Amino acid sequence: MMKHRLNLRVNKQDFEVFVKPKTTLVDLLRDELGLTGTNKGCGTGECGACTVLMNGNAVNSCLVLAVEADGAEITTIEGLASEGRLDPLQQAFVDEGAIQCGFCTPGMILVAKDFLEKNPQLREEDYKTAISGNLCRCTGYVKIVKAIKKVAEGE
Amino acid sequence: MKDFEYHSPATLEEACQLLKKYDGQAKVLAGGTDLIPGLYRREIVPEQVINIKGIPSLNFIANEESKGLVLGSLVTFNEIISSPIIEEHYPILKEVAEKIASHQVRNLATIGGNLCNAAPSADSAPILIALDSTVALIEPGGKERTLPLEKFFIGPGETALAPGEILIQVHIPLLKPRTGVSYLKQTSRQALEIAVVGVAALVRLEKKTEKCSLVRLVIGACASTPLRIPAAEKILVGKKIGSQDIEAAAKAASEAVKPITDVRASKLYRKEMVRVQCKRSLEEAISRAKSSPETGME
Repeated sequence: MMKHRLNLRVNKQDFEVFVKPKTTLVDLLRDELGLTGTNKGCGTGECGACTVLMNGNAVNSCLVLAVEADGAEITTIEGLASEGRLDPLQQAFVDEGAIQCGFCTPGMILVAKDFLEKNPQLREEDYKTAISGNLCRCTGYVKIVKAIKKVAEGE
Repeated sequence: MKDFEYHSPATLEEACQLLKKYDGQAKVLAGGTDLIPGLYRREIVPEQVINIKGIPSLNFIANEESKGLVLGSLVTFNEIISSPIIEEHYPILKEVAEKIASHQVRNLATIGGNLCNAAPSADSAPILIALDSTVALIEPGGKERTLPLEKFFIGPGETALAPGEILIQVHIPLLKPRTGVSYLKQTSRQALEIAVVGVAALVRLEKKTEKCSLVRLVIGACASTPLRIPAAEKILVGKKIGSQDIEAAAKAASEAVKPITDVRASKLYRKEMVRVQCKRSLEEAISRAKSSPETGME
């Protein structure tokens, strides 16, 4: 099967890679680029563990073919901290103890990042809506919601 | 996932030609939220995948005086949710979009994809049929045709698309005065869930008399396609609708649907829930019709 050349920008770094059409974005990020902070859970868009930002939108990277990301700007959990400082969402997750096993955490943080940017006015139930596509099997949702709310309210 | 050839046409004509050339072996990729899980589970094994997302003319939302709302087939559900035009003139579409999947999936999934995937449970179908929507299809050579959405669905995963045809637009007529719409989706969770039963209702009431002049009742997930229920509509049209009429219409709907038993619900349960949700959906549509503005296009 012919490999396709694609150029993409991941965490502000340019990459040129060759992929088979069937390679998904999550597999490219993990297996080719070594960015294993993006986790792969279900592979079918149901668990949210593989959430990344693609051109600013949170997407399940298992539902995107790598070839579709040609020319795209991708942000993974590795790209959130800058100059040695954690993103406010990352800091809030640490401060609130919103992490247990950690498998869902990158996806939770990235979907929250997108959701907070697009929804300046949030109602109480919106925090749950934001993470409704992300499963935490430690069931630590209360602290996750608390951490996101903390950032939304600018505490 | 099995290997396949990938195409990323830049124009509609190129996409139609590819689809025609590889008829029966090709799948169109738009949002990918149904296609890619299908590839992953090897339920869909196409030799060719044609990504139409590079075609710019398919991604727009426009409110036109003659046609009403026009949605390009690549409009995503989150674009529907955040559109000021839709929020002002067609808030029901936002309400329905918010009931679909998750934030991440709504960033990818498109209105055209939801319709062309033709799942009997597709959330956008019942409400769009209730709103009397049509779809515009284009074939190789550029000839277009429009089709009432109701006639677009043939069976699970089957549509009226001919070889080489692509769904390019959805047209939704303007909502007339004293018209209320509702979509109720029954699920066991509140997100990332496929409807057990979906009910869309549109009700129009006459001025002063409040007699019902038009009803469209459409059920999802309870037949091989989204199903309009003329038997239930007939009970309501021409009447000042009372609670007994609603009960009778809901019962007629329950009798008309042909659901299957699957992992989400049994046939019997679905039939009973059609009755319950039709009643609630009709009540909501009637109440919205009563409070909808008196002015506007007749």
